[in-house]
This record gives sequence, C-alpha cells and structure tokens, in this order.
Amino acid sequence: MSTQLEVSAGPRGTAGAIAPGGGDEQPSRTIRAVNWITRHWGDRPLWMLIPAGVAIFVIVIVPVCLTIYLSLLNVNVSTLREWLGAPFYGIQNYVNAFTAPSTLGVSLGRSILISFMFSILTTVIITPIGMLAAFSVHRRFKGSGLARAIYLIPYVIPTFVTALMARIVFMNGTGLFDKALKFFHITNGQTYWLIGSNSYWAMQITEIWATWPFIYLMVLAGLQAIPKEHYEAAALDGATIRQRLRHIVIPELSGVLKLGMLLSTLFHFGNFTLAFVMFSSPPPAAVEVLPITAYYNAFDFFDFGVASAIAVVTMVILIIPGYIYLRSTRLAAQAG
Amino acid sequence: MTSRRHRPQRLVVSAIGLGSMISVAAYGGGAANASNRTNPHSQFAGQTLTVFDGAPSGADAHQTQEYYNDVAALFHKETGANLQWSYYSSAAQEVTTVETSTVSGSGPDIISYGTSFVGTLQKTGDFPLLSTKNWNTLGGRKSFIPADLFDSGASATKDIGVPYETNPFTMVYNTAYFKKAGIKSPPTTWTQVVQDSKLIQKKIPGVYGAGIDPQDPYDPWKSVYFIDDQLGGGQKFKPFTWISPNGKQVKIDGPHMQKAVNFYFSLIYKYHIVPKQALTWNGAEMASAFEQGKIAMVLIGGYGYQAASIGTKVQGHVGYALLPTVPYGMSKLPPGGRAIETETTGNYWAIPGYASKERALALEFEKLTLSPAIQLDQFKLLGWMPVNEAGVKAVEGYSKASRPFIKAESEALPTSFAPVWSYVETGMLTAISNIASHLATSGSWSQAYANQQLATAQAAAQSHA
Repeated sequence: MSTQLEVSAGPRGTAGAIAPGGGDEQPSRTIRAVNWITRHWGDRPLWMLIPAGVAIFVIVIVPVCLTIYLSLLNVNVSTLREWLGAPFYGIQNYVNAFTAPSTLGVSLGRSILISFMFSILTTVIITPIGMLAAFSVHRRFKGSGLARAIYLIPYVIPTFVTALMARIVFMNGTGLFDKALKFFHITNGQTYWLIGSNSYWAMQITEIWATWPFIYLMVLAGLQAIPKEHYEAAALDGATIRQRLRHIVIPELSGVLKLGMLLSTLFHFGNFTLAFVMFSSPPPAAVEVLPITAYYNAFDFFDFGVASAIAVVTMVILIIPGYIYLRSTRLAAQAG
Repeated sequence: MTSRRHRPQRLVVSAIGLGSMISVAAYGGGAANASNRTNPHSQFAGQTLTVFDGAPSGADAHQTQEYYNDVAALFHKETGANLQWSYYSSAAQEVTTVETSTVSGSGPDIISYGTSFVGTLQKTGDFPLLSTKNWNTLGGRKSFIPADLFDSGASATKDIGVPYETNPFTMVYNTAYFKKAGIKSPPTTWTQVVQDSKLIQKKIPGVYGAGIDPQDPYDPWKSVYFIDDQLGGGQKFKPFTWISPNGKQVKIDGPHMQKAVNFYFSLIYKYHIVPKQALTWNGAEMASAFEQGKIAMVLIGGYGYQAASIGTKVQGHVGYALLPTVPYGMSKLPPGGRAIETETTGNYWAIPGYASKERALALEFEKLTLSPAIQLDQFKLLGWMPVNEAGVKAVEGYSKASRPFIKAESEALPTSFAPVWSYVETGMLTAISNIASHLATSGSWSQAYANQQLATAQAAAQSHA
C-alpha cells in the first residue's frame, strides 16, 4: 500500500499541514514534525537554512564559546592536554592580562591603543586614496584595464612577502627609504625605521601601501553599480560635476563605503603577520599590536588562559564597530 | 545462461588469482632476499616513520638536505622502513605542532627539540620516560658526553630526549684579516678582542673588528649570559645562572648583569669596534656582514659558518676559536666568575606517547643517527659536533681542529628547565632590543635606561616564577 501525502490548508490560511493518505492513520513523528514546522514557519522554507545554521554553529559559535571558556581556565603547557579539566580561574586571566608586569614591555592597555591607532589611521588614510584611484579608472579609456590591474598589485602580494620587502626598504642607512630621505636632504639617512618608536611609522606606511586597493575595489564596484540613467538625467538637468558627485555618487557609494571602512578597520586591527615578520622577535614596543601580545602569551609563555582572555577582549572590541554598522544600516533601511 | 555469463568471470578471477599468487611469491621471495642482504629488522619493512625537524634553510640549506637524505637512505637500508621528514621553519611552528599533536594524539613519530625546550615538553606529560632498556638500545647512557645529557630530561631519572648533535658557541674570525694585521692567534680575553679589533681596523680601513646582533630572536641573551657568568653573576644559582634550581627565583638585573650589558654595547659606543649599523642586525644580517668581509669577527658564532662561507669572499678564511673567558680589563677571572665557553646547545630526539606503536622503530632511527658514520657525516656537512664516545672518536680522527670545541661542549653548563625560562629569555631579548634602539636613536649610552630595562624584565619574569 502506498502512502500518499495530502497537503491541506494550515492555520492562518497557510498551506502546510501534511497528513498521510487514508485519513484514519495516526501521522508519523516525522510528519508531525513537518506539520509543526509548517504551522510555525508558515510557507517559507526556512528549514532549508538548517545546514547553514549548523555550519555557523560549528564554525563560529563553538570556537567562540570555547575561547570564552578557555579564558576562564588556568590553561598552560601542563594542563593543555586535559584542558577541559584545567582549574577554573574565573576572571583572573583578565586581571592578569591587564595588570601583570609585561615581559614584552608593553601593557595590554597600551597594546589596545596601538592597535586602535594603527587600524583607524590606516583606514582614514587609505579611504581617500582608494576613492581617488577608483574614480581615475571608473570610465573606460585606453589602458584602463592595465591601470586597474596595476592598482591591485600591492593587494595581491601576500602579507609576509610585503613585510619582507618592507624590511629591506626600511633598513637603516642602506634601505631605499633612508637613501631617498638622504637624497632629498630630509634626514641624514640614519633613521632607524625598524627599531624604536620609528618602527610604528614603518609599519603604518607599509600597511597603507599594501591595503589601499581594498577601498579602491569596493568603491570601484560601487561606482559600477550606479545606473547610467542617473548620470544622464543629471546631465539633462545641467548638473555640474560637483553636483553629480554630491547628489549621485556619494549617496550611492555611502553604503559600500561604510562597509569598506568597517571591514578595513577590522582587518587592520587583527593584522598579525606584518608586525611579526617585518621586525625582530619580539617586535619593538611601538608595534606590539594586540594579536602579537596574544601570540606571545600563547606560544612563547604557554599561558593559553591569558591568551584567550586577550582574544576575547579583542573580539569584544571588534564587535562594537560591527554592531554600530549593522544598527545604522538597519535604521537607514527602516527610514528608507 | 547463468553459467555462460559467469564463465568468463571465473576465468578472469582464476587468472588474477594465479597471477597474484605468482606475483606475491615472486615479490615475497625478492623481499626476503633483499631483507637478507640489507635489512636485519625485517619486522619494520614497509613501515613509515615521520620525523619532525628544522627545515633546510639559510646558507647551509643544501648541506642540511643532504644530511636528511643520507639519514633516510641509510635508515631504509638498515631497517627496510621508510623515513618521512616533516619540517618546521620557526620555533613558533615547532611549538604549535607539538601542542596540537599532544592534544590531538596524532602527529610526527619523533620530534627534534633544542636545549631549554625539554622542560616544556616534559610539562605536556605526553613524552614517556626513557627506560634503561631504551638507553641500552642506543649504546647505553654512559656512552654519551655527560654535559649533553643535561637537556635529556628534568633530572637523570626523567629522560625523555636523546641528544644527537651539539653546536658549542665559538668565536668565528677571518683568518686573512688576522694575518694581514699581523695577529698570530685569536683572542682569549675580551681585552684582546678589543685590541685585536682596533689593530685590524687600523691595518684594513673600512673593516670593523667585530659584529653583534642585538635584534636577533635568539642570540642577544646568550651574548650577555656568558659575560655575566664570567663576571660572577652565576654564583648565586649554581649550576644555573639566572634562575634558581627550584625555578622560583630569577635574577637578571644585578650589578654583574648591568656590567655585562654595558660591555656588550660598549663595543659600539665606547670602543667603536662594531659598526653602529649593527644595532639593527639580526643573526642573518651579521653573518652576511662577515661573509662580505665587512667585519673580522663574529663573537657568538658556530661551526656552521664554514658551510655558509662557500662561494663568499671569506671562503677558505674562516677560523674558529673558543669564546674568551676573561672579562675586559682583567688578567684573570674575578671571584665567583666561571670560565664558561658555551652553554649546552644542540638538538635532541623525543618520542611522543601517542607514537608508542612506532617506538621500537623510532629507537632504531635514533640509534642510526648516533652511529659513528652519521655523527661524522653531520660534522662534515654541517659542523655539528658528536654527542657520544664513538662519534667523538670518528670526528676527532677526521679533524683535529674539532677537539677544543668538543672539549668546550663537554664542559658546557645548562640554562634552566623551569617554565619561567621562556619569560626570562623573552624578557632579556626585549630588554636588549630596547637598549639597542635607545642607543641608536639617542646616539648616546644611558646606563640608567639599560638598568631600567633590565629591572622591567626582572619584575615581569619574577612575577611568573
């Protein structure tokens, strides 16, 4: 006997209550579950999101929860193998992270400040550079394809290669940067970019050089998405270039630009490779960004509890701008 | 119909079966014969052993690869098993792999580790102790140079690692420059280092007497470690220098240490025998300066400079000397000072607990690397010194020049196995790097700044002891 499913009208007029054919038989557990889902989710096939939900749970939720849990345990090299049974430490790791004397010579608070300054300053500087670059190749002209490709070169070079190149460029006295500064009589060619406080600026300049194409890409994509009709209508109305920029381009780019700046800030905040490869190990105090501090605690001092606490602090800091962005886009959408 | 359909299959199966029998018989016979010829441990034939060691890199990458190939070929010949090398390219990668392997219970069958890492490995709890039977397989514990066993385990009864090579620190010098300056023998005191350097600089304009590398991730703490100990800084925590035997006390900011750091940098700011440029150097940059003939001496070097000099300006002009042991301005050691020429250095094999099934084969591998043939091979290719009696005999027979270094290694002192060591090492690296940066950017020496940096390193390390 074959069992046929009949689809009957569910509550609130939704088609969804599925019952086996024959009428008299009790619906199986699976059928009841499907009926329940259909009643509660309506006719939207939200159950199809379950694989994605599982993936997000495994890839995002579980590691984040484990990191938070680790940050509350006294996990070191002795307890690592049986870390789930490591002694509970409460918030002591957080207290230690902020108050214990730092072997690296930089407190966690200062490390946070360095990361903030590095990421925000990079974003502030690369945004206009990226926008100008995008505007310069937005319109097709002879060689625009080549120019677009050239613009991408710094971005496609792996960070560790960029860091190694930068180390050579910023070498004291013999590096390209010092030679140029000496040639133009700006310094005596002994600037010591790779040690001391100047190391911060060496890292900052390198990061700006390597990452401005990200904003360029975002803005270029945004420019390509603006309908031609808008420009044509503006031209018919006699709008000047400045007016077109102000009333068409900037508003249309607003969303993508905000997203680009947010992602850029988050990316620079978490940049570990540049500081790790470009300088000595441990790096100078001026470039002790948060990921470097976390790394040394985990893999040099084997204090995984403190390293996890720093990771959680980093995560909280990074969630804030993300939340603000999402909130602002939702409000904008509601206003729209 | 059925029988007709199956007949060809039967024929095929029969043919395959017969073929297989013939093949197996032929292969088995061949393998047995081969085994009889080359393989006394046929029970290992066909197995694969994974060994985790440093990646061939730098100037002697080719020689390192040759050593790995030699060992793998001999291992296969001796045991019939295959050797798979897996590499780490940094200490960080080594640590990460060890951690993930011990947590997950799978990874390389043998791990190569350097001195001072033994405490960390032991703390993981996943490295079974070596039994007397294990040591006997390797020729017996007594057949090794006693100093090389310091880092086999936290104590003589808690061995987890087997030494296979040592790298005693040596002073490396350019013999051609010494000859040109009329200097007949390398310096044996720090005063002579300064005097000889000044003479070389006078006779050969453009060349500096020596080089240091305060931005290196390893070398800087070693440089001041020796000077501090020679000045008497190590008398408090014998046999260790900076950390008490129980690992609870740290002392890295005392007057001897302050003096040691001062002398280290005075080579630049006071005696001017090291280029100011060296304040930004790491080990590779210092080696490069030596190979280009820009400096006459590398104060903390190793025998590996020989291999690295091939094809450079200094090929054929690389000389080695033991580290000076008498502090600057003195004619003999001060009270409490130790004539320390090197700390215990080198590498060890350790077998993790998760590789217990491969333990017998792993011990065969270790035994092979301790054979006179491989001990000599590693000396010839890489300048690594032997660790056991048979190896010493083979290497000394090949090169008389190796004797002083083998002697220095046999008298080497250990650092410490205490977990706080990593804080001490990183703290000293940070302090020396910062002092170098301050000297470079301010242009003048500040003892107060140096003392403050040492005090910071001391406070941080002591808080974790």
